[in-house]
Amino acid sequence: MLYIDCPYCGSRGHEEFTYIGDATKKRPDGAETSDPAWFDYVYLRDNPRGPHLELWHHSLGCREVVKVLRNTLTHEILGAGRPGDKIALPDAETER
Amino acid sequence: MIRGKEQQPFRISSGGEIERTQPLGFRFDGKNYIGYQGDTLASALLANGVRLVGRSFKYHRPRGIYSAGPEEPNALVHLRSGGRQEPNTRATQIELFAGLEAKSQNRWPNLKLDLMGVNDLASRFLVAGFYYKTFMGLPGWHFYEHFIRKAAGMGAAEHIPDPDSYDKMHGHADIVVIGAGPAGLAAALQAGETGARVFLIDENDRPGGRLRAEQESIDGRPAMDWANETVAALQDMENVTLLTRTTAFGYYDGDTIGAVERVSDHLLAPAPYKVRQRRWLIHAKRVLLATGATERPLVFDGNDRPGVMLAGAARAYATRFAVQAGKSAVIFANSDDGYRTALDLAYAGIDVRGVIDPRTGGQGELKDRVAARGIDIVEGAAVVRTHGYLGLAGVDIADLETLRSGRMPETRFIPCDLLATGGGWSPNVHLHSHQSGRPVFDPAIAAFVPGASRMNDRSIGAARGRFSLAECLADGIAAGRETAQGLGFPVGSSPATPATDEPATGSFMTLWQVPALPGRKARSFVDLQDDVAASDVKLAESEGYVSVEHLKRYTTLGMGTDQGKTSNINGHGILAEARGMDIAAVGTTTFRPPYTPVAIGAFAGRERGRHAHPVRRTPMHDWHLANGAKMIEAGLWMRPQYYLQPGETPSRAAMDEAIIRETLAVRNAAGISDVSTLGKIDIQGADAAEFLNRVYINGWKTLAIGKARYGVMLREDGIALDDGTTSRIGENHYYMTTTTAEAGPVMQHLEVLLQVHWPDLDVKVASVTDEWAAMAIAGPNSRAILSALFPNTDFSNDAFPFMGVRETDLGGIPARIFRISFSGELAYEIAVPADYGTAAWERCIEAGAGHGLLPYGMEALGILRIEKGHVTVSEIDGRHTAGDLGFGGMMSTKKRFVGDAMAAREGMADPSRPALVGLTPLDGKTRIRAGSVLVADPKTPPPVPKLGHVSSSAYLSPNLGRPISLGMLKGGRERIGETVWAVFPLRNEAVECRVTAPVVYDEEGARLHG
Amino acid sequence: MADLASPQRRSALEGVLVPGDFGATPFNGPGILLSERGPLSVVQIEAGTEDLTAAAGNALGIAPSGMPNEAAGTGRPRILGTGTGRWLISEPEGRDLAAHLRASLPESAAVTGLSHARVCLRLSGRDARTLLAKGCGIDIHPDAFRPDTSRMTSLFHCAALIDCRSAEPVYDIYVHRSYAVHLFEMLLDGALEFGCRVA
Repeated sequence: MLYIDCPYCGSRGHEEFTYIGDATKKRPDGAETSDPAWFDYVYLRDNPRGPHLELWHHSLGCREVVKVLRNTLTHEILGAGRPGDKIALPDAETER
Repeated sequence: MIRGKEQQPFRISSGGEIERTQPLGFRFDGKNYIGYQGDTLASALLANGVRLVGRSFKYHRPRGIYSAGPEEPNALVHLRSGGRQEPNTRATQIELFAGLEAKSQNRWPNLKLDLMGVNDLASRFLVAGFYYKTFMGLPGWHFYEHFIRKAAGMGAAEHIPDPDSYDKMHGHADIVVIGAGPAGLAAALQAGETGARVFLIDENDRPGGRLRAEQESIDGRPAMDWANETVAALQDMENVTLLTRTTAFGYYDGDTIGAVERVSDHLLAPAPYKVRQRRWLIHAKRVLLATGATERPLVFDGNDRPGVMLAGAARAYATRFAVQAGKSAVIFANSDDGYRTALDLAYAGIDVRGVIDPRTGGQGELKDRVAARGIDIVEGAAVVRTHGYLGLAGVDIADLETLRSGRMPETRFIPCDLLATGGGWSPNVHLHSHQSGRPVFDPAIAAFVPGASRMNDRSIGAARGRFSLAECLADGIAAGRETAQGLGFPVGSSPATPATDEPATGSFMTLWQVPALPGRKARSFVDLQDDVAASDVKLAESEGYVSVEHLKRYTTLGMGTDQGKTSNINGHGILAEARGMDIAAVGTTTFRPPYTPVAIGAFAGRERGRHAHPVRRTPMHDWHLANGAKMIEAGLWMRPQYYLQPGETPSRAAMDEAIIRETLAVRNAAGISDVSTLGKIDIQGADAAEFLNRVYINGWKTLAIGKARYGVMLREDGIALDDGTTSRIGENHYYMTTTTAEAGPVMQHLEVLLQVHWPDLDVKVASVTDEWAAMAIAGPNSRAILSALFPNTDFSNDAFPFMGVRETDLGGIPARIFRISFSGELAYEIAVPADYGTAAWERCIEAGAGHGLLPYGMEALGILRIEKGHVTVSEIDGRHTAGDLGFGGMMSTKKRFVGDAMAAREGMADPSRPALVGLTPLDGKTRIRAGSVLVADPKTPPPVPKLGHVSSSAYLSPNLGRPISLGMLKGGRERIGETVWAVFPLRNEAVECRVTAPVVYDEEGARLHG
Repeated sequence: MADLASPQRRSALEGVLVPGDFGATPFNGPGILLSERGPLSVVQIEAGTEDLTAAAGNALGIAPSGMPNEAAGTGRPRILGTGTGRWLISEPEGRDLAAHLRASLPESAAVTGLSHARVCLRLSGRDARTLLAKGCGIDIHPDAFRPDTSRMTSLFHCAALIDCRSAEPVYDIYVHRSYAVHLFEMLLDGALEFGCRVA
């Protein structure tokens, strides 16, 4: 079980959440119509080995979207916050 | 009449944990036996002199009880009968109960005369990879496979439903201690005393671990006294949960331990309302792995004969169960365990005829004690052969050095019926390995010990290669204290480690296998369960399978129900020797959950049958059932499929009749259907209209209060997501409906947009699906019915036009009326607060009585909407664009909306894309199966180009008198009037059909206005 | 025809929640007590551009807590935090709670009536925590889940809002109406081994 620290509810098992997607992608703003910008946003994903920012929806809890820093290699949850929050790598991770 | 002693010729008259005053009758292979409370099936069988308990997997060689624990490779039995039967259970872990029934497996017609034993004679053909080499790739593999599987199976599963119930439980702990042997007990006591929340888990019926099986003392008293006192202290602590008969089978992410508690497995049947097993998920902050160690066999010719047994098991049977595993024993071990075993077995009255020690010196004190008892000790020697067929009759021993030099040694025969063999102990690193813990090889004990781990686990005692009792106790005390302290719990001064009186032990000698006698085809088994011999490992190596993972797949070493608990290290040792490498460099395979097999029932828990998943009911559910409805699943919901009328009995004909009746009622009079399952979302806020404008493809800024509008949403990639109507209730207040299927995804889509992408919009969304009961009244008589229901509302086209919305009340019940239609008829949807749903529905039925109103179910609903070319989730299936579905014209060019840029891509607007069309069989009567593939000509040799598929089908439109379908057809709008074939190869069906417009009934839509 | 003047609310559990003792009742009485609370008025309020705590406090006579998962009020009304700037208010049916709040709260607040969308089950008894632990992954230890706090979580795969009313323990479980029968049946089935009194 992955335990995600929901900013509202506290630490909860991943079975309460739905995975939404990559949190590093910024949705093009309303004025952007170019194919490449949208193509990048919709389809292009890095596949990092290690820390990765993701969005999870606390669908069986407060129904808020949580930004999660997860290590794709070890499944460790390294941090969590609101969608607008900056989530820093823990010091130990940065050193690695 | 129970005559214990006579019936249990191998039972010792005193000692052990068994209750001699509680004899238990049981059956094995149809014969009755007596054992005692406290026995396992294995110990009771041994007590009764039953030595042959199974046949091996591949060669059907006779096999006996080999161990006394979860590592058992041989004694797998088929337990119980009827719905409770269970194959492949380990006799060594089955607690005996009165009335136990078990059968041996893998033999035909019976255990003593197993005709499949011919496999053993053919064993030189059945080497590693035999099946692959011989049969695979040949024509007719499917033919051979049946017989091969029949000949080489383990136990057979049963199809009878399990009558017992299983449960799930969640736990939360500061510290989970796994294993209640000396290290685990000591650790749990220390941690518990700090106030930390502790779980102590042990797979046995009571704590103690190896202490139950050994002659040890702590502080000058029997070691089990210390264990029992520790358990009593733990049971007094509210913060400690002790789970016995509970196997921790997996170590998962987040330091979550999966465990199965065998609540009632030791009983004939669970007590009323009690579960058979309970599966735990325990979330821990720290995990202490006191999982002990497993003894390895020595590998020599004939080491699988019934009567050959692990030395530690022979001691356990003697000490814990008061059973002589044989009357005359030879002991063969590469450590001082051989001497310890000799002493314990001699104490149990077994005639110990010799200790065969491959070492020449370096032994500890125990050797002198054995010598003092006059027991024969042969150093520098090995067992080179065993005799007997269904049971051991004796062994040949020979000088190891001579054997290694390749010369023929002199052999000596020692008659015996028990050969206790010990090749050293391997720490149980399974749980440590489940989360990528990397065990490292420790040459001092020739075994892998826990290495680096990224979890919060710490292995203690024998689980990390600290085998002496004193080390286990000290390790447990330190770990319990330090772990609790690390979590911030206060610890007092360190207690003294209890005193033990263990003799000094000598060195351990690595001996992966005993060389075969020159010229002899040795049958030296490494993996007894999978019949993998040392020669198979060498063959695999010589054929290039030099990685341990390849070795496992090629030879099946370490597979099966025991997952190589006794065999892995020996196999890898032999592979390392063959490659001339160090075992540390060869490595070991990865252990994965579960540690021991877990019944599927324990994973399902009580979520089976009608509780397999949550079932959602609409407010009118009971009315439907009481009025003849046959219900059908729609996602999690139950919805009426059709309604049988009083006097009709369920049949295919009655169903068809009901569906036709309901469909015609809507077209000719009126029908009412329960549409409470549609998703409903309350949208409020100053920017609500702007928000709708952004999520729907069409414009929303002009919608007036009291009006509804149909809208289509896209996903970010431009594919259609959902459709539905949204009504404006107030200035900044909207009420959205979604399809039943997409209610959840749409709600989540809106929440993500608002929270992540448009946090600046002042919009609040709330699911009100459960707040409102909704019913659609459709048909030419619906206006009359509504007028009767709402006498104060003017339902004329002018006063209440199509897409009008009114908030009113239905005789005291608050109600919203929407003039919308899914059937194409004049229709209204009424929404009332859910608890009033049945009352409102009944009023509608009453008001409609004189107007031919009938309730209609999903089948009629489907026919009506297919006639009108209305799409559902069958068409909005995640593959099609708004354009494909005929909504291209709705896409606004004056505003931005989700998916617009992606939907504008060239490929998304390609005219040859699939488009929604109607399909009618040319003969006017052949049914077209939903899911059929559309092709130009079914006789084209494959690959036949696919033109599309049939998405929805009505076997009969009673209004048109023929089957009708909807499909997605490439360039479909250009093909109207042409013919295509709908083929369904699985059933060998091909129907020629004419392509039509999607709408085939009331094309101009006149009926909508009544 | 039913009495048009005073329509009666029909519980989602009608015909399913049948009073009585079920399962293996031990000598010291059933370990689980299960009943439905109702009829209730349940309203969700959510802040728009303005903070709601003060206005809601004025309207309800008790201020909602700004702390996540904290409850306020003794039941008339009970105010449960369900998200940032969002609360669920429940009280025995009487006044038109939604209309009262709509009139009292700032324009930017969203007021959504959920009286019929939620079923409220009251769970108590000495084995109540064990029963919850069967279907729920959160830590229900008395030190972890204290009285006057609530949790939104998954209970037997249903989204549920669990309000800890007292340490006895007593829990009020709010579940979506359409899931109520499933949840009730799972709770009752799970309670049989302790003995369950349904009232």
